[in-house]
Amino acid sequence: MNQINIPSGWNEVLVDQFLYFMKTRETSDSFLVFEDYVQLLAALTDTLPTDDIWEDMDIDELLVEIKKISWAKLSPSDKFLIQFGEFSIKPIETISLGEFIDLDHLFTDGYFENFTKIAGIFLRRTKENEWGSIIYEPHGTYNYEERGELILESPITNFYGLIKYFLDFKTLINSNYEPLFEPVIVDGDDEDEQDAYDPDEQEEIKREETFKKWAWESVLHKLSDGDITKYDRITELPVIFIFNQLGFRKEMDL
Amino acid sequence: MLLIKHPTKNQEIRSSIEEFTIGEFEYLSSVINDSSRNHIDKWTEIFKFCGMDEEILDDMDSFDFIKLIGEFNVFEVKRTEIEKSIVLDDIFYFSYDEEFKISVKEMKIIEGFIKDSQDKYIGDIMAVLYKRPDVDKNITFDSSHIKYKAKLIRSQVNASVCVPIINYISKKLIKEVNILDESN
Repeated sequence: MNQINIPSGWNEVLVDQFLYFMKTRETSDSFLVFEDYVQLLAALTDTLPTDDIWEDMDIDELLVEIKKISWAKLSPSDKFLIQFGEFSIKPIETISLGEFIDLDHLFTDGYFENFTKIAGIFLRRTKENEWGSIIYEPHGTYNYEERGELILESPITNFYGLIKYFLDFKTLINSNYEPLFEPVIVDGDDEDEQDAYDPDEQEEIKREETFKKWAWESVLHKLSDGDITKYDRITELPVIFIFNQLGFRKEMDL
Repeated sequence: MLLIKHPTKNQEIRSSIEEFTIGEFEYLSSVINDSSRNHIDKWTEIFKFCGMDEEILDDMDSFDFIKLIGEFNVFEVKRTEIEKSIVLDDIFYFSYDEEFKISVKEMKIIEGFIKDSQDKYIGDIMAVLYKRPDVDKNITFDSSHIKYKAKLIRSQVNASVCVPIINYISKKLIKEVNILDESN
């Protein structure tokens, strides 16, 4: 029987293998135990679950192989590479409103499904300006979907941390600019029903509804005073600056 | 066999696993596992199936009925060794050559049968594991071929043969995989 190379940790798993593994795990049938494990092992070894190497194996041998991927129960490390070949990861505190909006949409749709696109937004060429400062390749001047596909053959541990990187930033935005978000009462809920919610659940509902209310279109409309020709310019501005401006306007009642 | 005593006549009914085919054993298991029926109803059905006259059943008092349930031993199993071969229509089918093993392919098919049928999968499992050595692998695992074999197994193979296999599979599926999950 051909030797199967089971990875010994996430650092030996490529991005495309990882994404296929996560997709397999999401769609797995909890009843079909051995079939699911074979699919997971196949995802990690670039084989098919129907290959003879798996189907001819006896289940005692499979149990031995399953034990070898016990590390897969934990997520990869939250670290990521700052430099990837000619590309650098753009620091999150410098991202523009447009970049934040695109990342937010991608995360909402599913950060594993959109993992390479998310990485593509972060990965930038850089140059120094005349004063020695680093300038990052502008968003919108390159195809971030194509850029993201460059990481498929890299270990997942090089980029997995980008997920937490963005989510932590979003949490920070939410907490620092919380006064900007008006709490929303969900239609149909009366006070008694709301009181029945667990406090954590109330917090979660409030958080979800506030983010729904924060449709980016309304933000752009507000900042541009309704002039859509200014949208592009506004989306290039740093997102921290935008939120500060919104906070200023709210406080000054402008 | 179990002897039932009655004022007008005595009767013997089948009661141990060796007295049933796999198909009959599946039926008894399905009755026992039917959560929509009450205990009395289930066991009345079982005793009738095993051959008890309705007259005797109707005359039996509840204490004797309960005592009879206790004596009914179809689910008691003595056999532990996995049978190497079975005969279906005068043809031999083998479950192993030197040592009993289940392949991943076989286990996947078996898992599918267990998932799809709550209680009538024993014949299907046996059909996956008992194979003719002269038959091509593709035919061996063909669903129609398995279905046909399962039908023969249900009517021709003694139920006691299946028990060690079911125990083996249960151990793999439940105990060993759970140990994996817990230790990880």
